[in-house]
Amino acid sequence: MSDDLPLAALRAVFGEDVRVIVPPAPLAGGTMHPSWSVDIQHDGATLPLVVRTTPPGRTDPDVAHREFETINASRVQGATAPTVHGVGNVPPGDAFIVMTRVEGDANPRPLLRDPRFERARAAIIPQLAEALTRIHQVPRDALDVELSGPAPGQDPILYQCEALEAKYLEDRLERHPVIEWGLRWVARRATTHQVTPEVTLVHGDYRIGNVLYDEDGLTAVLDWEGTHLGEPLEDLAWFCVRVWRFGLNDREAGGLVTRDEWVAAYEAASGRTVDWERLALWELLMNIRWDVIILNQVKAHLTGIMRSQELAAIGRRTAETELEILRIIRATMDQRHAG
Amino acid sequence: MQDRPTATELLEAIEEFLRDRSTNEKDRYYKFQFLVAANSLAVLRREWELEEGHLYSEWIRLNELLLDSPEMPPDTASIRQELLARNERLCDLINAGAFDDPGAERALLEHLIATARDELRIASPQQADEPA
Repeated sequence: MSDDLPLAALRAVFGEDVRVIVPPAPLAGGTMHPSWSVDIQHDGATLPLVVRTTPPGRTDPDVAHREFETINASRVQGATAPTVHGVGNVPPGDAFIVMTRVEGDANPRPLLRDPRFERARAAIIPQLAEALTRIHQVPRDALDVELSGPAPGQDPILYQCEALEAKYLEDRLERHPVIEWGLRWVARRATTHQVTPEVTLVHGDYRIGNVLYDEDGLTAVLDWEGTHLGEPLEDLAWFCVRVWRFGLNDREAGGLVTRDEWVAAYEAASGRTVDWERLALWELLMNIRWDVIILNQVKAHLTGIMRSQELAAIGRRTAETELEILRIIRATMDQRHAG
Repeated sequence: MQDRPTATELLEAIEEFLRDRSTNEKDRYYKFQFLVAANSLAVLRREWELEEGHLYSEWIRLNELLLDSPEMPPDTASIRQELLARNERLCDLINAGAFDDPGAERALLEHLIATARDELRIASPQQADEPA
């Protein structure tokens, strides 16, 4: 990865004469969003920064601006997130965001398995529930940005079904009966629900791997590029998707705690009562979402947007995801027969 | 007929090399990339051994769901091609509501679970027999 990109982003935010103290070093992870760590001199002090970029053609042009707005509004509510210094685009069209580099690690593995982080494991679930509550409390008029979301009166589940179907139709390389049936399954059950769920700001990518932690737990919530309007349960469900358990599948919530414990923590923080039937539909839908992301990543490789053996290999992870989708369908079927 | 090593043995040799490289690599990025490459070769090796049987089973199961029993082509490439078309038909039937009632729903579920398990026997065998 070239250093030109992060330096161009820094010049755009801090001016042509920005003083770099520690040059940009690529950060691990983030196949789709190359990132660098860099230190600059700013107002007489060292400012530790992260520059994250998104290659052209991979996202909508407003993404960085939306991220800027939603992070700032969520910070005002008290959510733990890094300061954003600037956003924009640099030639040949990469979007960038420049943020303060918060201390901590995002790597799921030590958090889930290392004895050093035992205290963090105990602390982080209530902290994550609290931060998520704050995001869901952001007043709509505090955001000076267009956010996608359901039409007035539209069930957020049906909105998400439509959005995912559109992405699936765009990215599929062959037909996937599990995705097509899963979407139909969710939509048919959502329409029998009489409730009108609350629509709030949702983070859209709230999961282990997208949060920074240290020995005491959460230090910052990252990856805000997917924020939109939706049902709070969407964030709770995405956190439980199989791939984000990193192999610890008996702890459905991020490989950290059971789904019951995660929901209890959120209910305690938010004062909301979770509708379990809708949560199951959301979890099914969010596993479909991951399945469709896989299709998108394989396509990025095969079409040459981003040639990568890693993206190619991810393609074969549809099977475990589709088995999980079928698992949730079966559990819902069995429950209906029992009830 | 090719001489030894067999295709499987060749794949195994490269897989071992990459796994070894991954174990001894200090750089986190390359450590991971070598591991991904080794795992992909293991997928290929299992596909080499298992795919034909899986294609056959999927074909037979689809006969019941699609209510037909076309003749299976003689070669693997054509079976794959035909299976793509038969899965398209399955999707069209799903979207037309042919599997909405509880009995048909179950039959479809069992078929799709069996297919996903077979895919996992190649992609990630330790997950293939987890409860569903």
